[in-house]
Amino acid sequence: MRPPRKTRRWRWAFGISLTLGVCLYLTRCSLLAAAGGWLVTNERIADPVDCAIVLGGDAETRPFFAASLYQNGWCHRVAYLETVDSPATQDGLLPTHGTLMRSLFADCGIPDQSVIRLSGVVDNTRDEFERIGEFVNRTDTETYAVITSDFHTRRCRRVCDIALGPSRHRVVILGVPTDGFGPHNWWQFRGGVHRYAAEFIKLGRDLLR
Amino acid sequence: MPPEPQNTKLREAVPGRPGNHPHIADVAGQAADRKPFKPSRFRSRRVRLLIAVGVLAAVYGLRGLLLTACVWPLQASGPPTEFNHVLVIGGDQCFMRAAHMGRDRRLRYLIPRWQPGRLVRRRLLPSRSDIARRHLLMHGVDETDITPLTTTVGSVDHLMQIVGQQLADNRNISIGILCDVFQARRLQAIKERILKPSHADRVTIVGLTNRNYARNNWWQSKLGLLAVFHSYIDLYFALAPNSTAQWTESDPTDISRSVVR
Repeated sequence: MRPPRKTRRWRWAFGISLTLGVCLYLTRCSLLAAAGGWLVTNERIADPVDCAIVLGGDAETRPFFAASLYQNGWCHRVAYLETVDSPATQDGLLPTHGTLMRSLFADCGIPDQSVIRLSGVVDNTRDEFERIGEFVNRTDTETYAVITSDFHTRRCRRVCDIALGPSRHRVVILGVPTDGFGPHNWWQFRGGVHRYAAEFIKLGRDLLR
Repeated sequence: MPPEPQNTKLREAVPGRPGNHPHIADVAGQAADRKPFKPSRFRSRRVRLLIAVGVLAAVYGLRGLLLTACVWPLQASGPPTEFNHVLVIGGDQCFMRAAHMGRDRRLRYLIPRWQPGRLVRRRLLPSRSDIARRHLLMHGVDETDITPLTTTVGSVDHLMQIVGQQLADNRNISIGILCDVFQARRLQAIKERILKPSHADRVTIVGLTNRNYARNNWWQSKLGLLAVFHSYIDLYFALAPNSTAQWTESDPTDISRSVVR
């Protein structure tokens, strides 16, 4: 006897869900790598820029990349933004972000007069690009490279488009690879899942705004 | 003879039918023709909508309790046991609380030596063990009570192995591991996975409330939301440590992918 229509529908739904689930599981690595790769939208520079601006966070990689650009003649100055102090900084156990940047650039051989501190204290990417917008709009001709982590480039481009408006063409976003993981294997590392998952959530939140 | 109409109202109108007067309703006939009661589609939708609204209202009314319950899997509470050594893993108030514990009884403080990052290697930042030592000294712990662990560790799993070694070498020590309240279950899982049961009994995980959030208000601050989000990821990796990928440092001075030569 043929089962009733409702039962047949449920069987179909279950079968399709199961097949879809198995397909997703078998292709999870490719899908996750594609999702990670989607976040990375690295731009490139063809000519030296006037200033490389290092965004806050990931101090293990971003400032070293900016220093390398400077040392290889791809930028004439480097700039940083002061971030909100962590509890350890407030307790005097760690230097402030600005102090760390100054000493790091000095350690990399960048003279102090080539290092610029952008005004204000920032807490998130939107704050950073508001400050960068003020800095960039002071002149009409200078070009800039914003240095951030590679998984952060898509969101940065989006925020940059909104914050900089007509000056956007004078700014490129350069992504720096993170230590330990990249878009091809981020889900295998605790730190990778922290960063990439949070980035997807923040990007989704930004899109809904 | 005209065909028998199916509709009761039409049947009422058929002349000459016995007991079927146009002004008298054929109640018996109607009852026989009526199908079993089935609510209209509109009515059943209305009921469903009311149920959904009721559930939503209940969820909204009990949101505090539900959100507090959401972090229950991250917490671990064992029987309170005495310990004579303290190991602090993260948590902003842990050093202060550890120092306070040492005022009531004699405690020794173990400080792990973490794998140094690029900034520490270049002496631009102090090492984590140095920060921990200064934190404890700041809260009044005597220098002689602090024992730095000699082996460099790269992860909490590795640290737990070192703890197991300490427990095996010294039979009279018991260790209290102080951590963030939402990291307690993760450390409990790592402890149970790595330590022998006899050693695990001598290790107590103590989850301490952060100054920026607690179990009953974590959703009200960005730091609390991030802590819960990260703690669930950490717990997953503690329960399913099957990754074989090797952690390697990148070369941040490599600019070849960002410039057109």
